[in-house]
Amino acid sequence: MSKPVLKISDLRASVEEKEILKGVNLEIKGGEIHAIMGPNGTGKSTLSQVVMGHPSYEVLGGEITMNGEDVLEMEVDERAHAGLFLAMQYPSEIPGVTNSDFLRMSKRARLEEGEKEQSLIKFINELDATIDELKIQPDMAHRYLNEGFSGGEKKRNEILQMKMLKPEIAILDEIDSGLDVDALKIVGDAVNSMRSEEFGALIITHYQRILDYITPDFVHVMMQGRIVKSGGIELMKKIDEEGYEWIKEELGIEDERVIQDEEKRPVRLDSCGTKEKLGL
Amino acid sequence: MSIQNLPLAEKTNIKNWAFEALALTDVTAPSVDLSALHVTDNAVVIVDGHVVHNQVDANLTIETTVSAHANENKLLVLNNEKKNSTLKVTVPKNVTIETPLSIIVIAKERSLVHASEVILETGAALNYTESFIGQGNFNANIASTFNVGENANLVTNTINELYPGTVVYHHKHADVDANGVLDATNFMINDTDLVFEDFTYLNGRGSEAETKTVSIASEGQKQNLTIRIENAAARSIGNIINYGITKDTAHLAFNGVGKIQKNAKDCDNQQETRLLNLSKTAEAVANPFLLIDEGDITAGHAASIGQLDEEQIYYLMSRGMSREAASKMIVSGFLTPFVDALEDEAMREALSARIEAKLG
Repeated sequence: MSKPVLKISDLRASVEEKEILKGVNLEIKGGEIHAIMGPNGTGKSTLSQVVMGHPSYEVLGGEITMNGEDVLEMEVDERAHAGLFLAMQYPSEIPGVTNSDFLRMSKRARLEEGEKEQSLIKFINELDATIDELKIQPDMAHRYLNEGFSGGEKKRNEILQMKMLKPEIAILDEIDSGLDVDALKIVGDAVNSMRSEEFGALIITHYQRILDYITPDFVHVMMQGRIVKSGGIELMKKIDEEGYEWIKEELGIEDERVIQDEEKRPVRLDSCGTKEKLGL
Repeated sequence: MSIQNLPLAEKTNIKNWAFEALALTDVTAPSVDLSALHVTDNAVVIVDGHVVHNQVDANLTIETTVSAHANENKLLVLNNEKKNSTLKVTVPKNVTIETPLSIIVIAKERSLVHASEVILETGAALNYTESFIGQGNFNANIASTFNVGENANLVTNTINELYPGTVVYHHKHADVDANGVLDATNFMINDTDLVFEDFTYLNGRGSEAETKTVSIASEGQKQNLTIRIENAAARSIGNIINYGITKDTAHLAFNGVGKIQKNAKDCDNQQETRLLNLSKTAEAVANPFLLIDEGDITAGHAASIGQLDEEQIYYLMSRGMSREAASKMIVSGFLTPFVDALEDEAMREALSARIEAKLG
């Protein structure tokens, strides 16, 4: 298998007629791990959804190619077949569909016609081993997809899918939010175990917590719907120590956001609104 | 006295439905391949009004004379007069029947006009499934009564698989005595026009009932379902759960009625209706009623009517499934929790297959 390449050129996109991405350029190759960092509301999650083809986003211009093929022309499922995978920040809950049926259907959908299907036994063995590796509760395979999962369980379930589906390029959107230190380590190990010339990853985060466990080869900073700065691990370290203000000053940016309330989701009662409001 | 009124069937005009067009001429006991059916160790099979199989738990009493229905409307009068098969099941006092009882009623060459009565005496327990299967193009009229005695526990599954071009009237009536528990699930997987009524009366203190009803209406079918639970005694608990799917140009109306009588203190009556409408030309109606004559109670209702969730489709497609496969998975998942609750595996599989076929 040759090295995969995801290439994003001058990508512009909008949601509800508001332009969010204002010319993103990025190239991810097999063997590379990229991290996009940046404060909330700068367009990071939008980028991941546009690459995967979320129906709410409209592409205004630019190109995305995967191994030279035009991604923007593809349906969402075709993008998955092309080797793309997005670990979602807020995965959907699907009642009545068990996790294992869902995974089996997803795996089956990726097979080329005429290709021999993996046997059920082999599938179950692979699923059991991956569940074990990710220290997921074994009953999760038989529970309905994401229904009643805690935030951390949903994130681990996204990683489970990534390991089972073996994409060529994976985008991990805020995979670290809602994870405790032990879970972060497990997720980090899972991504590291996939490192090869045939696998590239893009990790989107506004903390650097996850990057303590996965060392990126390239670090990018996103502001105002663009990548405004790129570098190596030293860039991450500087942000860790000094925050983002110095970049804003250097580039003369006053307000880095393109979305004012991207991550202001309603506080759920069961997450204890009072504590969140008081910052406890 | 002649009773002229039709069932209420709110939101659906049933005035001109041909309920009375019944094919009643007797046919000789038809041969039926029992191996093609799922006949358990504790089962009765009736074909065109003839009992062709009767092998039940020795503790059960099976009779063929049923009490006449209260003549609440002219379709129940019709059932009383024209019924061509009857079955009465009695579970004696303090007897628990371990193996689920399965009653299969099939219409091949004449209308299915069936009346049944299930009686659980004090402290009795039974898991009871009745399946009505139409294999010919005939109207049907079904009336079932359930009597759950004091401290008795009845689980019922009603499965309808009736076939095209027909008009079906199906009425269920249940009375629950003190501390009795009724857990009823109705699977209305018909290719017919349908008026379905399921009325439960919580007559005894501390009695409980949950009625779960699933219906799929496709093509030009018109279906009206009224699920009623009436709290007539203190500390009684009623719960109504309705799930429906509409396709093509179908019309499906779910009326949920929670009624609390005066002096039924400390009782609870809840209902939830979820309808999934798969076509712009279909019509899905959720019509909740809470009729409350007592202050010291809790009651509530929730209803939603929606289309397929684009966010869910996107999620499944992002894992490689086609839009069609993703939609299918979400729609069948909508009903799966009800099917999964069936105890018998072969019954689960047969019902899943029927639902898949109906959803297309």
